[in-house]
Amino acid sequence: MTPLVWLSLIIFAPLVAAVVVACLPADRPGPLRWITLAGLMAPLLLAKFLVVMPADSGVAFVLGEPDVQSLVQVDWIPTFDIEYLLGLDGLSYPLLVLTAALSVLAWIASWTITKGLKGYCLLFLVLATGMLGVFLSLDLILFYVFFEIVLFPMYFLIGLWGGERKEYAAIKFFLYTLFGSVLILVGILILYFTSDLTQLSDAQLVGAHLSDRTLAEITAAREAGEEVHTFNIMALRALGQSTEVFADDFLFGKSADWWAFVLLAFGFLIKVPTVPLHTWLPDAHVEAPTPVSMILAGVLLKLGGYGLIRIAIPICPDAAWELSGVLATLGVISILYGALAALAQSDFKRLVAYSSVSHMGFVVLGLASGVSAGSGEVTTETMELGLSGAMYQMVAHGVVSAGLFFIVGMLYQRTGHRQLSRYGGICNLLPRLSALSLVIIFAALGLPGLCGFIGELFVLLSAWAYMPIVAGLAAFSLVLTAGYFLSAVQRVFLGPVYTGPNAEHLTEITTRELIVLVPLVLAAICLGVYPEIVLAVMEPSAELLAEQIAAGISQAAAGG
Amino acid sequence: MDTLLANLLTLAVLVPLAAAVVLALLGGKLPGHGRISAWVAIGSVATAFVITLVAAFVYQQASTESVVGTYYTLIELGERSLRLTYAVDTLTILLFGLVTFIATAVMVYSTEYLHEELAPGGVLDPDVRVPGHVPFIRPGRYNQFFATLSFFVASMLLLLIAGDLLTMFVGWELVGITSYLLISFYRERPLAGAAATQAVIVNRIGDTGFLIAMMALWSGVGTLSLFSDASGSTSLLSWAASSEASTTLLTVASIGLVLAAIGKSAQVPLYIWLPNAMAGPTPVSALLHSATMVAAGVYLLARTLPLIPAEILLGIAYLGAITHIWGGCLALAGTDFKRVLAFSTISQLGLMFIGIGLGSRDAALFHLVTHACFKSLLFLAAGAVIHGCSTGDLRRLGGLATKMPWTAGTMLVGVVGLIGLGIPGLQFGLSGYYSKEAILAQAAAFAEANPIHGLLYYLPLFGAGLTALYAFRLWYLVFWIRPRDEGTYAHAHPAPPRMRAVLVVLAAAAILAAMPIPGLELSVWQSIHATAGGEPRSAEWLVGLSLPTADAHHDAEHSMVAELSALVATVVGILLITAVYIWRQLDPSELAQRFETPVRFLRREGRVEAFYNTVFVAPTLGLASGLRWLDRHAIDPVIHSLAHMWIVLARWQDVFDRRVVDSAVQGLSDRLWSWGVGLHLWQTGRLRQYVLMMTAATTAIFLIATFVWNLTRSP
Amino acid sequence: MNLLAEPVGLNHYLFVSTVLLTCGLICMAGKRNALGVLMGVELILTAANINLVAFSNPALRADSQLALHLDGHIAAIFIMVIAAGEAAVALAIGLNFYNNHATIDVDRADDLKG
Repeated sequence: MTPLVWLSLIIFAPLVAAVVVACLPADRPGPLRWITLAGLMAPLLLAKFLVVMPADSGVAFVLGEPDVQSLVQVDWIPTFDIEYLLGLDGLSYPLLVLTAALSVLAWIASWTITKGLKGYCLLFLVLATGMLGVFLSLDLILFYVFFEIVLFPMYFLIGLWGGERKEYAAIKFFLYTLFGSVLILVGILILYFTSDLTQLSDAQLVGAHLSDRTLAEITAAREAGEEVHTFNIMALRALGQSTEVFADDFLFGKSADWWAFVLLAFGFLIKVPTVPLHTWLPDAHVEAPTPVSMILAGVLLKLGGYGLIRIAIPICPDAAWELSGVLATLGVISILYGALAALAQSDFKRLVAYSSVSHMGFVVLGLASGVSAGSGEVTTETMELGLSGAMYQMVAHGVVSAGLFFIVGMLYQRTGHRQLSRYGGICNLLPRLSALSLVIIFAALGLPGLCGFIGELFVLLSAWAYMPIVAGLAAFSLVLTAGYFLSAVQRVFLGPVYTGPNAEHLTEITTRELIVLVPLVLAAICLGVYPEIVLAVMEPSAELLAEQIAAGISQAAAGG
Repeated sequence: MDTLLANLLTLAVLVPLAAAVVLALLGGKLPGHGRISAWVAIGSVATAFVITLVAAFVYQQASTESVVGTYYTLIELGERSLRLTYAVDTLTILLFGLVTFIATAVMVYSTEYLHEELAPGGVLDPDVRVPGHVPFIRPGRYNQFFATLSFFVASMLLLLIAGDLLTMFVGWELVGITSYLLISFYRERPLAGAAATQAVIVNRIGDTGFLIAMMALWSGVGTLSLFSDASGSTSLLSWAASSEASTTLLTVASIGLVLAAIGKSAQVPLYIWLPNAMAGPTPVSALLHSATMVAAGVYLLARTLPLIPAEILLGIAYLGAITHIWGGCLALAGTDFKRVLAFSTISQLGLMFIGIGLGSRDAALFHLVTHACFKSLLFLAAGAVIHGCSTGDLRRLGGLATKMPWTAGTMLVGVVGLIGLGIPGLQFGLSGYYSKEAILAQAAAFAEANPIHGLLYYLPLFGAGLTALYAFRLWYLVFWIRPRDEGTYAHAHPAPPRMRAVLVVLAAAAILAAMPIPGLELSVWQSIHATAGGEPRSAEWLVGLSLPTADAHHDAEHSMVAELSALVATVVGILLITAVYIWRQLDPSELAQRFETPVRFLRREGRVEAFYNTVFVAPTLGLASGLRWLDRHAIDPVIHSLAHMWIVLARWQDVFDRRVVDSAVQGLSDRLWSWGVGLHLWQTGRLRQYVLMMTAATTAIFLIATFVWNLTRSP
Repeated sequence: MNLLAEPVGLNHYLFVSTVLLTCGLICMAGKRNALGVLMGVELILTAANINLVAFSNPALRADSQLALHLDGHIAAIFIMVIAAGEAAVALAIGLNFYNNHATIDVDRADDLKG
């Protein structure tokens, strides 16, 4: 087994299942569901097995190794230097596992869907392929392709299986993110056309993991005095951090990396989402069916954060450093804005959606303090803490938000409405469902011992060194978070009796629902009590990244 | 030996935790309708108590003063690391013993108090109104209660064993959330849910302070550990003692810590949650909301005392004094048994704040311990009364001393302990006497050194009188004066034996807690005193402020002054209230009429909650609605108008396509068509015509060609 | 000049050819009978053949040293073959036309008029 086969299987196993599903008759739901499940389980198992493979097998993912591993490098479109370049490191592996796991859980949550089942299966499988591909690709164009592949199934899943205003929500989601994608594409092209691999020293070329063909091209170009462009993220990272190729004036007196960073960050911040680019999120969530909401909140929002930490920040550290103040401000505004807006919601799902805005603000804040070298009392350790915090918050939010949306979905499925004011007394009616829900909600509150706390703590500790005021405001958001979640708990779970419609349909949690919710609850507890299970993977890479950024910025400061 | 000590106390944390997990997962399936679960929980907490006793003896054998170690490291960052650590010293062991002891007592008491929860057909809750006026019956929550209580004990012990601020914060938050779960125990009652939510939100304001302190100290010092370990690593306390300590950083961090303590220990202005928290079951109020959890704020300040600049300590003292008096006033006017006790708790915590603020950590902690004993006793007595009479409304009680003499007697012990009655000079009195005297002596010494802050001595003194007033008022109203509601009186029944036994045990504790135990070195006072880190910082910019040494209250002069003046204040208070209710020298109703305005003001609890609602809550909610509006009506319209703009643009483009491009193509094809139609006329279909035309054309072409040829040839 | 007084040369051939062409044209334009038209066509083709043969005279050619001077003849033979084929096709058309319309008057053959 080579990495090529292994990683490609992770990405394309769902697609293979999709082909099989496409050949099956549409009127027999059983095979459709089970084959889809198999197609989604395969990446999860394959990704997990990567860790236990023997280290010398070539495909193993070695914990504690900071740099990219299990590299796959095949030419795709050599004319434009586009490669089929896959790999894993501590930043992508946790998110890969999270994605695979959430896909499976969301699929089990979709078990009750009967309308257009075959199409739903197909779209779901394609969606999984796209998401898994994003976290594995290390070539900008490949990344972009997968990034876009995610968009289309999502559009149809919201637009066809959604609620009352599904068309509006789907089109809004689509346009927002497509707008962001276009900016990302422009950013990618700016990077490509300003890049020049001949500027790298031989040692850096080794670190950049280039193919033999590209190396030969570089040798030829050096003799001829030409430039060699690249889409290779690792090579661009080396270029951005240790050379001046992106530093020249590009447009309106700003350098190429400034423009690339602004465009990329804009696109990714739409995905995160950051206030004021967030209004697609509540609508999309409210209209999307429950499993799609789980994926949307659990994985899709992470694409934005991951894009920032994988592409925008490492490639353009100077620009990130220059704009980290803006980033931090946006982060804290999102935190407070999301929390306050959640406080005013009367729809449970909207409330949860706004809580996502608030929680993802911590990711942005953490990334901002992760690139703030040299300002305030920031040290490389502080930056590492910020980056780890942002990453951890992404994983934790993936677990928590998927759980929250599933809880809302279970209540909605039973009662047919989501109005907070019309619930009450659920604790007495459905004690087991309520107990599990409370664990997830407490995790969302940032209760220590559950997963939400660690990320927020790391981000806050790191942010104070950078901007004490911002960190203080972010810390204050905990009050608001407690406010909206607990008032929702009070209105939904406490109280004497349920007075809303469809009281007779309020039945205790089913086995299938337990299969979805219990892993999420266990994950929330495990990640909160023993964060080492994720940090062991993530921390070496975060440390390396922090060091690289710090070195990149000081290099620029010395050069400029 | 050291590891043994740490392992023992860690075990004491884990046993209740394990019990909580087991009960939460299996509780419903245990035999005996959940009766077993109570004993599982009690067993675990009692085990923790026994382990603590063993640990105490081990500690006496050990050579070290404190044991510091790491549970595990969250993240390594170069030289820094974020760790969960423990620290064991005498104070830890003492408070472990206190918490597990009171928790065991309260849990045993609860087996009787919550007996109703075991009813096979469910529990009838008369306080819940449901549509249709049917009686509300809910399933019992016996098991859940004990599971949560065990979890509380584990969290509280974690808070106490914490060797760094982060671990303490973990325990701090966990006790907060168990407090939430227990306040909302009667979750069907609308007030309970609201009170629980309010408690968490208000506490979280304090927690923001805790976070700010952690953030500032982590950034500035690079560690959150309070104590240096065996290798002499940097800790917050060692840093604060060194010359590197920056006053700005200390000020920011201390303000955060004080905010945290204010929230948890229910001080002005964040005290409002505590009276409302009385919506929970009374044993919970006894354990969490008077004896242990609310004291965590004082514990935090006591542990971090060396970090707090003297100027901030002064602020703490004044804050405590205000709270002490304000709480006493509210208690004096209260009409609900438990609320009066809650205000009393607030007031006594204020007294502890005074102790901390005046630099006497030992006196404050001493009061913390004694207060825990007599206040849990008072609450459990209140519980016995409420259990026996089904109401806690002071206006409907009275004369119960004959009906429940054991309760009356033990509560009297609690009341006397609360007001700290004792005989000056002989060093004899109930537990509260010793601790209150220690704080007052410190205040006397402080006032002498800083005459400008003399108020800090007179206010607690006045508070002592006030305490005597409301404490005896409470006791008279419940047990002594003529019954005012015959129905309640008639139905009142004494506490069941198990509850009575617990009351007696706690009464004994309230009497003996402060006494030095002959033959044993480990008295409460000495345990506290032996703990390192009790020296406050000296003032930096407030010129002339000098804190007395921590031992000031042990010099005879100040002790005597404090004892005598406190005795006078207390006795005046007792006489005054006895004159009102027993000797009938003053008519209470007439008094109430004469002081109508202040009484009404206090009965409404100063309208503080309404004030907060208007000033803080409503604007926040307004802002929230404003932001929701902004999303819907400002951001979305921009997005919509952008989308609309594209649509309009597309329409124009459509028009352009039709009018300009399409019509050009159409015109060209029309022209070609008409030409074609014109040529069509030539097509006659007659062969001979064609031949002629061909001939003519060929001839013509030939002629023209020749003509042109000649033209070009001839120059 | 007088053609009859000179030895036979190119001009004589061209004269004959012109006469034949004119006859052919008149025959095509004048006859309504399809067979007559066909005869006219044959005349015109013959006129062309005569021209081709006449111009292949070596005296008229610049490359007379190299060539075989049979190009004109070959072209004429081709034309004759094609003319034979063409006549066959034309006669078939004529027969069919007659079968359908009971006439071979070309003036009435305007069914395909556009």
